[in-house]
Amino acid sequence: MKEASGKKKSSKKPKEPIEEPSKDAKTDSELSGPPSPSNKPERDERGTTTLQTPPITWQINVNPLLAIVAILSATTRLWRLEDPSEIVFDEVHFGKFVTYYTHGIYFFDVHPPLGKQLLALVAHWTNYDGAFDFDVIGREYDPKRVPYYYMRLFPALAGACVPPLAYQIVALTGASHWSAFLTGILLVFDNAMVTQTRFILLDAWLLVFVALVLYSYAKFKSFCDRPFSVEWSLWLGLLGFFLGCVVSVKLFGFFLFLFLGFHTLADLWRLLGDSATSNSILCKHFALRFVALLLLPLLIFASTFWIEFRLLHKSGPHDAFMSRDFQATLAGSRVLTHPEELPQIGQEYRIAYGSHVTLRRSRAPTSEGECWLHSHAHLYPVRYPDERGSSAQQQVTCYNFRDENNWWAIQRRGTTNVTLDNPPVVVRDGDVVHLVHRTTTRRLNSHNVAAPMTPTNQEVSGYINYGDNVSVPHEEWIVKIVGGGGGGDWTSTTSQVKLVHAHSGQALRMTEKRLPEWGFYQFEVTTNSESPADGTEWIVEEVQFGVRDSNATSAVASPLPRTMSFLSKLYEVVALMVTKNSELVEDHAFSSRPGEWPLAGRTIAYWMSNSTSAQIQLIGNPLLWWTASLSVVGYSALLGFYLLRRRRRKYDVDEDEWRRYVSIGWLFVGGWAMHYLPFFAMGRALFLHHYLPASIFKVLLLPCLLDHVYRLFGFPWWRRVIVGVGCLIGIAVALSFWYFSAFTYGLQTLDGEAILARKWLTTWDFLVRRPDGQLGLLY
Amino acid sequence: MALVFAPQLSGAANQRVVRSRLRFDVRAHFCQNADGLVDSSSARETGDEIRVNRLVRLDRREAATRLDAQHRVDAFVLAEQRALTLITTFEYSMISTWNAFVFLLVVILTLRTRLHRIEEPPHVAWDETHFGKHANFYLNRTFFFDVHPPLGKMLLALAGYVTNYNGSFEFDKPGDQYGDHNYTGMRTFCALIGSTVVPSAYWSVYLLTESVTAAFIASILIIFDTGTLTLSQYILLDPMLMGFIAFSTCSLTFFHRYRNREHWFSISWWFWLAMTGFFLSCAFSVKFVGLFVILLVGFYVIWDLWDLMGDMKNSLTVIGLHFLARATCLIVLPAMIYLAFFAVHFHILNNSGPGDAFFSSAFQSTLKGNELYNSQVPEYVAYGSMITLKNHRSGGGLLHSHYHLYPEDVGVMQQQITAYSHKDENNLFLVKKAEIDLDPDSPVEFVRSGDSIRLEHVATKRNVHSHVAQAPLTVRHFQVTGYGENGTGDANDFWRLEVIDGQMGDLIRTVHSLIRLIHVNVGCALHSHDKQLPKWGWEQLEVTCNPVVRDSNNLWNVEGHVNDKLPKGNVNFFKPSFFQAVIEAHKIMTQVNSNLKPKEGEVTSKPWQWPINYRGQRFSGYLADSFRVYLLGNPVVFWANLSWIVVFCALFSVRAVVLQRGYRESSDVKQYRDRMSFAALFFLLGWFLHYFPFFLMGRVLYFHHYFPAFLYNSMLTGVVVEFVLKSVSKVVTLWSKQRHHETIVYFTLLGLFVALLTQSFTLFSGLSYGMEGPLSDNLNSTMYGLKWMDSWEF
Repeated sequence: MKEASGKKKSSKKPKEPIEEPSKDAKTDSELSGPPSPSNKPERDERGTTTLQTPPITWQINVNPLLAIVAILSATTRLWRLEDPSEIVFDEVHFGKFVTYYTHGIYFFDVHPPLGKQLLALVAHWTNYDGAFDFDVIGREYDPKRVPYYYMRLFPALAGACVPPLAYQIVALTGASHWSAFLTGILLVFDNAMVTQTRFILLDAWLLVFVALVLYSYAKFKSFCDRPFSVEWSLWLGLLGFFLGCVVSVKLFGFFLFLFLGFHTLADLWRLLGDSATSNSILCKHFALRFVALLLLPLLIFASTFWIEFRLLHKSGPHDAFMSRDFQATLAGSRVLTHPEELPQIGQEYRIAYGSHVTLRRSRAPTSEGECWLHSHAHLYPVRYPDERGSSAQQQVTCYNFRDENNWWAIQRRGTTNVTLDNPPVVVRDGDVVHLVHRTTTRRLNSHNVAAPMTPTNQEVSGYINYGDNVSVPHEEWIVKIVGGGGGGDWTSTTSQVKLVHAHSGQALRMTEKRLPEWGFYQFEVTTNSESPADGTEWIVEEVQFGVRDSNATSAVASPLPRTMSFLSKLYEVVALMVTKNSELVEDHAFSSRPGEWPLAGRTIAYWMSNSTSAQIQLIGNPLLWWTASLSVVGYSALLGFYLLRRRRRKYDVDEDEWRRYVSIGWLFVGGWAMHYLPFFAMGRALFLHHYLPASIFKVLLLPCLLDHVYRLFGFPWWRRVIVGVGCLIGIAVALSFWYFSAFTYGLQTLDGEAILARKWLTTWDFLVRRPDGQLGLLY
Repeated sequence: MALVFAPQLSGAANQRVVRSRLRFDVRAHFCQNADGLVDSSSARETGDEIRVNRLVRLDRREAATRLDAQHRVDAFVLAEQRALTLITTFEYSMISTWNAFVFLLVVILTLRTRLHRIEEPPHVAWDETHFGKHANFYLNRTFFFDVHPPLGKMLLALAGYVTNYNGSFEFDKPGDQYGDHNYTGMRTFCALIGSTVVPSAYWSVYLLTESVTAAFIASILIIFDTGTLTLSQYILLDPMLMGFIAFSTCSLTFFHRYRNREHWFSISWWFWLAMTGFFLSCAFSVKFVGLFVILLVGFYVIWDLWDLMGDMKNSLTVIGLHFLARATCLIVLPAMIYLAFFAVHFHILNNSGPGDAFFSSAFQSTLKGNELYNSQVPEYVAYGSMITLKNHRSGGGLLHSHYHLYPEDVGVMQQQITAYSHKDENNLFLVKKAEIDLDPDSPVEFVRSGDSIRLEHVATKRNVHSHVAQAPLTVRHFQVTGYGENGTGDANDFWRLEVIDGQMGDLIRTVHSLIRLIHVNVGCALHSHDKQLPKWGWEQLEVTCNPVVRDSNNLWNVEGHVNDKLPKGNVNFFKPSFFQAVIEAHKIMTQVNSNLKPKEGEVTSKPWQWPINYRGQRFSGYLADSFRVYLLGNPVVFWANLSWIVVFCALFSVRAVVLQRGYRESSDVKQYRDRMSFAALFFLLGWFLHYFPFFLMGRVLYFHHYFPAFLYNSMLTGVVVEFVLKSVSKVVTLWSKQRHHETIVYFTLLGLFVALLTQSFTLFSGLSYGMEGPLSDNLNSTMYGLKWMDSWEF
């Protein structure tokens, strides 16, 4: 880590290695006018030796402040990283995902893949064979089987980069290096930041990429007087690159994307108003930013998925989330998609009277997935809540899962025969049939009763089978083939048919409305006029011949992986992520509301020792979070004051300082708001760690504000007071970090009293192990 | 020109008067000058106007050549005076007549459409069942609770009272026939107040744009919208809400009219400011959605004050006065009016009714007929007393149990204990000693603070019980169940009773004593808060055992108390003050509002569906051959409105970019465009504020929530259509080089647009006025072929 920080120094102030040109003695002595200290003693010793080539030396300017920040940062993050050697909190998920990568098994997660891929890369380097089962929090790691230390090390290193980067960002906004130093110290000593980056989690990647984006942006802005120069283009490109990385780690990075979008638009707006910029230059600005800040991140986002789909090619536990087409691309998947495979797996092609079939809705799966015509021995309720009556006959629904109750027998009109004729007679377009539900032997029936959810449609029900030679017209269905091959024969998996009710002329239809509890939330099936209505086309998926035992032939399998275009895969996965993300509404013991975050109102228990009260809690350093939140208030109040005064033509600070003041607000307060306020609109379960990106912005603001206040007045006593306040904050935050560090590292065992003493807020959920070994919350 | 130049004039008093008049009238001239209607309303005027303009332009050009500043000022004043005499003679009066004519037409059309078939259907439609009931409560003076503030329902009751409706109709469920009851009075009242949105919209648009066409288009869009029409024809709160929202907007635009220095603090200025505040509070007192129009006015005021501050001619004192005037009229006055409505509300409803149990015991003691009124309960609780326990929090329920069990996956499958906001047999609990069973013959022994007791549910004979298992919703609390057979349970049924702010051994006074029940084994306290259980718990409130004993929601008081052995004491209850009652009512409203979930089988909608008119609401009937009314916007109006928002955003951005790029518009073009974009931005903000907050709301939403936003959208459309019509006709003139083409094009396009709207209204008016016969997919239906979207249900 020390090397890493040393390198950063050199890159910050690039110093050429001093290589003395040594053509001859004369030039040598002339050149070494003020000799560098390292050369001088050497020359003195050698005395009169003239033709001496000076050694190659590197002069590295070390910024001691930055070095201190880097060292402290690395120490706090890496100290005793191997403890606890048990699964901590969400390591249980991400560890499992890494295992899937090692096996190439497809899985679905609400986060984009980059963060997990980086973890998997570490695992790959360290030869993790995927043999460890990440099943439950608190399970002991076996260091031989899982290189958990290294899997923690890399996120921790990434997390350790955040404070030095913060130092640089603050320095780039024009604040003093002491302010930058304070920023670094504050971020080093935030308990929450340390805890969150020490484990196999995605947040460390997220935080470091956020910091890198800010750093690149600050760098980019510092070259804005030299547009299109090499540095300018380089930092613009890096900005786009890191933006892409942020978005690829968590979808939440989208807000940073929007935030920088606003900044870019504001920059461009200023350029628009600048009459010195010609139209062509303007177009160049637009085009470059478009490419770097929109196309490049999207490209990175897409390419992480491209890699994902390449890596994960085997069918796995989350297949059911995906569409059939997607599943078919995974090796070993159990879906059937192509009719030409039918002969291989024993499915027949033509449907004869007496065949047993399952009918699937033929349209591509909607948002609700696909479903099969279904019935079960439950009746429609006699009255609906709106006082309408039903037929109280057996329910017919559309069901999302393969089930024994999805089987229907095709019966010739007016007979009770449910076995094949000899020879079989194929059903043709326009034939009239009955459909008999196999398990309940009721016939598919429709009549002039309003359907449960769609009263304008007719109800469909299962009705008693009256036997031979009795053909109730309500139970007759005309098979109308509207698509697919077969030359007028009804074929499985290719023919799209409409089942038209002979009596009313209406077609069997699935309405995409879910029935309430009495219908087990399955989909409603009705009949409606066939012309415009969606959902009236059905397809026979499986066929059997009068065999009662479904296990015999109903198994379906797809031995060959199929292809699906990358873009449609990408679209499907991202859409699924967004919907699943918003569906995570389940209340969790440690979930919290955004209102509780800025004042560190909640904690999350990450891990607890099996025998003692030693525990790891995600807890924000309270002093830091409180002062930083106060700085947001202070900044806004001061800004309001300045704005009102300026409106009255009273200019309290000079223009440069004012511009800097506004720009730190745009950057840090704006960034904080952009990463915090959207959570209020989210209905899903939220956790304290969602606040960490926002808290970086907040902590960056505090020293900048102090810096501004320092410059406000020239009185020495004032400046001394401000410096004092800065030191005080730094020391207090460090002390409070130390005080709460027992919860950060989980090494120290505190007794109940000591834990209670640290429980500054009643909403903090510290755990305590009672004498009887029972776990309890502490009150 | 005059406007631009005016501030440079020196400030002699008489000159100021002249100048102000000049500015007002000259501006009027220019506004109408830019308005196509004047150009084209008659050929005679066009000629006159050309002459006037030429003269004015000559005068000004001459004035501008004066080098000396004072001379230049004088010359300008002269020029403007001449212009004034030229203009005011005929043009301004002409435009007023035209304006009055169009306005009258709009009003007649509005009333004609709103009052048509007001008596149909002669049965209860949709939410009339609620609001009719509420009106009854006022007429019968029985206390009830509702999530909306009282004004709307009080006005309904008033309308009923004035039109001889006596509150005797049950309003039991939708579809009930009114019979002989006079319901048309209340419907007509709603229709009338719902009609006011059109004239208000007319004036709002006219005052901001000074264009009769824009105002006309906005009005006609609202008139011909079937949704607004349907919504204003029934006994609902929405007509009033929309009426008051439109009134506040209109008052604000009048106030905006007087924002020039010479009108400051004049009578009209104060009047419109106060009217704005008044209508704001009315809107807010009908439904809390009125908050959004308050926000709109708030943003306007901030912008206005910011503008005033930027003018260095205004001293800080003047700005302070402006600020105070606005604070008084827009904050203090509305707050007082709002409270006044509540005072009337509490004054009228002084009899016990169905809303009692939502409120605290102390409040209930003020209601005539309540068991706590004149305190018909024994004073101290004894063993063997049957009591009801009320959670002391505002909106807290009564401890309740019933035969149903917790579901399998929720804690332990024992009997549910909940908190319920209605009075019910199942709220009664019997107080017993912890270890000893009750002896009916033993002398009365009072319960004291510190005693361990058991509470037996009277109806099911199970004890209130808790144990270390997760509570159903609040995962950090423990589950509370009903346990035991015939009153015999186990040690987990023991609760220690503590009186807050009391000594050990204190007696428990009915209503007065605040008590806490602490579970003896676990050490947690009986707790209830505002979370509703899911359907298995009948959406009653969750009751848990809270390990944080000092939580303020752990407090209970004894409310009902039955004990035959004890005398009914005369307990003097502390009566809550008016303000306490108001605060309590609001806490309960907030709680119930946020817990509103869709009833089973009910069609709820998502905000994104609204502007595209995706799906309506059934007002009455849905089967073929019944009388059907379907709340659905006129699709032509809705889709037009939506597309004109897009057009406006495009035009506005293009203009902003072009201006930023350094292009300068000539000053009268700039003035016209600034005025139009100010108006459009104002209405766009109104639309935005009345629409987007719904995306953030967790509660159940319906299509009719969109209609306030729709009003603003229509006004916006009026402004933008006018602007586009004018620009297009101007462009045509440039191309054809014939001035009269401008008039032709302008009026042809306008006519087409209005004809389209009229036609769409005649097609869809059945939705509002009622459809009979077969459904729309039948060939014989009057609505055949009009079901343009599959999601429409008519």
